[in-house]
Amino acid sequence: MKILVLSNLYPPDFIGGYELCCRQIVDGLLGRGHNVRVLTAPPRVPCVSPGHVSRQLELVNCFDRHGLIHARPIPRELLYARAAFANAHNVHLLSEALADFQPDVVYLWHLYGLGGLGLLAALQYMGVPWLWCLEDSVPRKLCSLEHGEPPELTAAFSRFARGSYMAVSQRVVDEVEAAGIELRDEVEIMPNWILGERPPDRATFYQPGEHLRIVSSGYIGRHKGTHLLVEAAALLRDRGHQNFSIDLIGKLGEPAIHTLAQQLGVEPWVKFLGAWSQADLPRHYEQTRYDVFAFPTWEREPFGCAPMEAGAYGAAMVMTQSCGVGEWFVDGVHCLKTARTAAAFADTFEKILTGQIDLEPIARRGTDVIWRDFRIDALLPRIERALERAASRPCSPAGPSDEAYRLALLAEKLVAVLIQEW
Amino acid sequence: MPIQITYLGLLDSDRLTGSGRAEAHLCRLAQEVVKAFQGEGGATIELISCGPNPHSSTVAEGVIRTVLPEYKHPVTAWDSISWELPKKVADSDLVHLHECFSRTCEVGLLTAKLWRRPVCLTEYGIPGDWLALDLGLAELADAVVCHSEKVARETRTTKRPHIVPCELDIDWLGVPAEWPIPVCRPSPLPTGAQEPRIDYPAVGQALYHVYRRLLPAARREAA
Repeated sequence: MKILVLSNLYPPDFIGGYELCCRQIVDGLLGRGHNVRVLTAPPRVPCVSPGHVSRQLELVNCFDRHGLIHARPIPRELLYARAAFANAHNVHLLSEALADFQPDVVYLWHLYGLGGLGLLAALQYMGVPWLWCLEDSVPRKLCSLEHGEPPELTAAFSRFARGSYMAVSQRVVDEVEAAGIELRDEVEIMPNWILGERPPDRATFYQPGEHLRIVSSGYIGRHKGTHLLVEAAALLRDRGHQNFSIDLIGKLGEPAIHTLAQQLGVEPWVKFLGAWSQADLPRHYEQTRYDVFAFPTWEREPFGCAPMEAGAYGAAMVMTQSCGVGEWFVDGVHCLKTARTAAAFADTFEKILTGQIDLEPIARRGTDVIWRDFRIDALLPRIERALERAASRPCSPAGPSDEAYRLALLAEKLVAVLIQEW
Repeated sequence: MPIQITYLGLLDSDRLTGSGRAEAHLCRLAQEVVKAFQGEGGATIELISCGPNPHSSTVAEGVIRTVLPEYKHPVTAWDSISWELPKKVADSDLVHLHECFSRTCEVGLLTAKLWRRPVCLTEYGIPGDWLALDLGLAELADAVVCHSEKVARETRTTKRPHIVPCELDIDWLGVPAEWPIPVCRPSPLPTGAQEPRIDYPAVGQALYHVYRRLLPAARREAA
């Protein structure tokens, strides 16, 4: 198949797991003989791009929180609008790429920052089939204004956007639909995956009385719940437990959490190890042999690959009870789920420390199911079939690309005028 | 099912002139088009604008006058827009833009094209519609109607305009002055100019034929 991939960024530059997953799937599809091209934005730091990646799209840097905080209201609104609604420059480049490459299907990833609604509208107008990988509720984000999603806009999206969706969890679908957006066409729930080869089975697991090694990785911030782990460490210490440690791997997004650890005096137990590359983590997990991967993320977490990545190397996954990745694992069978509070996480850790919870069977079953069902090799055939189905969907008659561009120009100018007049 | 036609444009000028001329003109035109469609399943024409006092009522057989709730506070009457307009356009079989200097028509054009609804545009040859001229919006219309040969010659579009003779000077209805001045431009018409003599049945018939050419494709796409 000829597949054109659209993504706001593409590794080595990335914002989060969305872009990393995009590259992994592109590599997987290339490896299976497909003709894949990636259309994305320039990296925010210099990097080398492979030949199948074109970095010409314009990315509106709506992810720069510092810049946004300091922007005045109208420039900020204009920036958001260009990120979500319409960017004629990008529509022009898309139509050129379509004419040049003539893909069977367009595979959409993170479109925020590119004027995603405009790109989607252009594809619809030109009658090009698409499959949208929803690693987050991006359709909702694209339909958002300052004070939420206007029902007329979400209704128009529901009626207009006719394609295929692949969401990483039901939670993502529910969140999109809660805004009034109906993903009424083909929606398939497809989990994320792990890479690599299965290591030899772990021979030993945590036994009460030993030192309990807990790890968590990812962005260090409150929405990921890192502060809850710091507080849980303090609770365990206060309950008289000393034989545990919590390693925090990731970019320190909120320095206040480091300060919190100092204030609570848990530095002997909680270590901030800094950011590691995703490629280095498996080796670290294999060498360090953590007992527990803690994932106290917010409940709207769309998926979250981090627990699986550690779980694949024998760590038992302890996670917020209703996050996206939790949909794929059974509490008490493959993982442990808990309420998203410091006390609840401390209680679970304490039960492990005191032997009330036997970690070994949970960790073993978790590892087995991860390597069986969540390997990228196991999922790629399903993704291929989804792309084939999307490519064969009947589309509206193809409108001319010059009209699509003219409409994008009109939309872009109208949005700008409306924001500035109001 | 009767054909649903949406008329946009001109109506904002009534808010400035306080005359109701635009509404009366479009209403009479719509009545004649509705008559022409009788025997073919009929047609309903909805005259839509946006304003601070939303309402909807039948003003003649097959003709509905609707004011959609205005979003925020437009600078001039011609900048008025409503979140409800895209749905109205989506529910139409055909959209006729009676000018291209109002925001309603610009949004109507955008949404009609995205929804694949055929668009008929009446071009009056008014200079200075920056959006329309800059982007050549007439190129997006599926049919361009001009009321005189002269305007048709001067219209900047690659499409061949349909000439529908009509002795209507648009200044009689009201054309916006330089933005953001919220008044109509000075009219070159003599003071106390009389209502133009328009052969509405003939204009209605001519428009009917223009619409008939556009509609089969529209119905096919909707199906």
